[in-house]
Amino acid sequence: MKATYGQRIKTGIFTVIGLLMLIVAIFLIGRTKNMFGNTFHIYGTFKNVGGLEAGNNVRFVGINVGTVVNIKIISDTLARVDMIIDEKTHPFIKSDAIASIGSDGLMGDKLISIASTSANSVVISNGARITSVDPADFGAIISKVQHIASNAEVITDGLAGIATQISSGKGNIGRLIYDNSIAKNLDASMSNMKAGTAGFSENMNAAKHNFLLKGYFKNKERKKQQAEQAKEDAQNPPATATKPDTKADRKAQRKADKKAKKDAKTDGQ
Amino acid sequence: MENTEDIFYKKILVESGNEVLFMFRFFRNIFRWDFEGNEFIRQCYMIGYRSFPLVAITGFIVGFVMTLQSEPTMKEFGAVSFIPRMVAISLVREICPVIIALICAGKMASGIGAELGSMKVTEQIDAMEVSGGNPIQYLVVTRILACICMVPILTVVAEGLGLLGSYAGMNVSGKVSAVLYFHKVFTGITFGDLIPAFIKTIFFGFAIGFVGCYKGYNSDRGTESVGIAANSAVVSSSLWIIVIDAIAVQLTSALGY
Repeated sequence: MKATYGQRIKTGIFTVIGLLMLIVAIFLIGRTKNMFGNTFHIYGTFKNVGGLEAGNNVRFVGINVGTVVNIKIISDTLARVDMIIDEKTHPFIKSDAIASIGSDGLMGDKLISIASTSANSVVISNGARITSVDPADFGAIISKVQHIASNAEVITDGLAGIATQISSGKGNIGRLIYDNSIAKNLDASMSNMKAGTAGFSENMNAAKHNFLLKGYFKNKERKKQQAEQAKEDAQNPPATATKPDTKADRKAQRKADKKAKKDAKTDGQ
Repeated sequence: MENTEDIFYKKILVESGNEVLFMFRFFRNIFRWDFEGNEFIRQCYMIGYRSFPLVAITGFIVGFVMTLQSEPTMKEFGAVSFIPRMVAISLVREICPVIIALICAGKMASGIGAELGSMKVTEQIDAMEVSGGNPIQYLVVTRILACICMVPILTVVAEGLGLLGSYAGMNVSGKVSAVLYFHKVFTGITFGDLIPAFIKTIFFGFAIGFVGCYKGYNSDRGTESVGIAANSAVVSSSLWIIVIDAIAVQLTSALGY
């Protein structure tokens, strides 16, 4: 049986499409991994790469411009990180730019971010070393937090001691809260004070009626009344004096008048 | 009792030996001058092109469903933006190669087994041998090579359509631009995901073609043996695919991909 012309064409088209898809996929993967196209190479040294791996991204002003190609230990405290970066960004990366290791979000991959420090210096050369800043050491942060926590422990211990002393009624605050003898004493002194002030006001009344001081008090009273009269006049000019309009108002008015009369009487005595 | 067990072991050994011999005959016949190019292309058409609709629909729906299924869970973790990457890696590495290979085992191996089985039963293969033809060359080599060539291509097509399906799935609940989606996909997958999976599918294709041909070519004489050949071709080629997949996983992880 021979393959017909149609069968050949269809098989050919199908195969070509399949292979094209494979090639396009390879090309697209390669493009994102910086394996093709123009790149240049720089390296940085770090005391601690913090979990950075070959293949992680390199960012410049927040844009992915390259990848980490290799990490190796060069001494007992230093690791060398080699990166390749897109040639198009070469003019913008200066020799005094700083590389630091960061991470992409809270759980994201590690990455290297390159930041410029000045616009005027020369462009970094291919294969050069870039200044690097070591990442914030998580261990150091933890030890600081531990220090804070131990301080807090001392403080809370003290507070707990104070609280137990207060609750057992010791100390001034404890006595204030739990001891009712203070309140009793205060009560007694308050009643003493009441008696004292009553006596004092009697004394004062007696003094008012003394002939030596009578004139002075009468003078004072008169002045006070005059001042009040003037004030009332200013507030309620006689033309606009309003009449009490409701029954309740009239009643209240009468009551007030009566009271004023009574007051005047007692004052007079 | 001992006797039957003895026979059972012997049977397995004889079967394995036959398979190895058949494989040698196949490899010896690949490199001969009388390669049946025309028949090879016809088999590619029958095996590859005819399977395309089935594989395309499967691939598209697998990608679509995977996206929709993983979305609620990923949403819980606030990681919806990882879906393209996750779906792409799982489709390219494992799901498309294995599912497409199993579907092809069902379609191709049974077809080859039944075809060659009925040829054997109707003594066409014997007639070919008697008249000086080379049935291995004409029937077996073309079919196995067609499977080896077509299964990887079908898998690649299914992967592409699966990613399209996943893109459609992402656009069911939200709105993602095609550029962003495929950018995320291709930054997510690496050569380490694509190439080993592609090589794996070549072996899957070989398993499908080889088992189908072997079962059909060595079927007994009798009408029911055609059905047995087709059935056992599907069963053992599916088993081969799973075993090859397990070996491939070990190899790729040992090689660090």
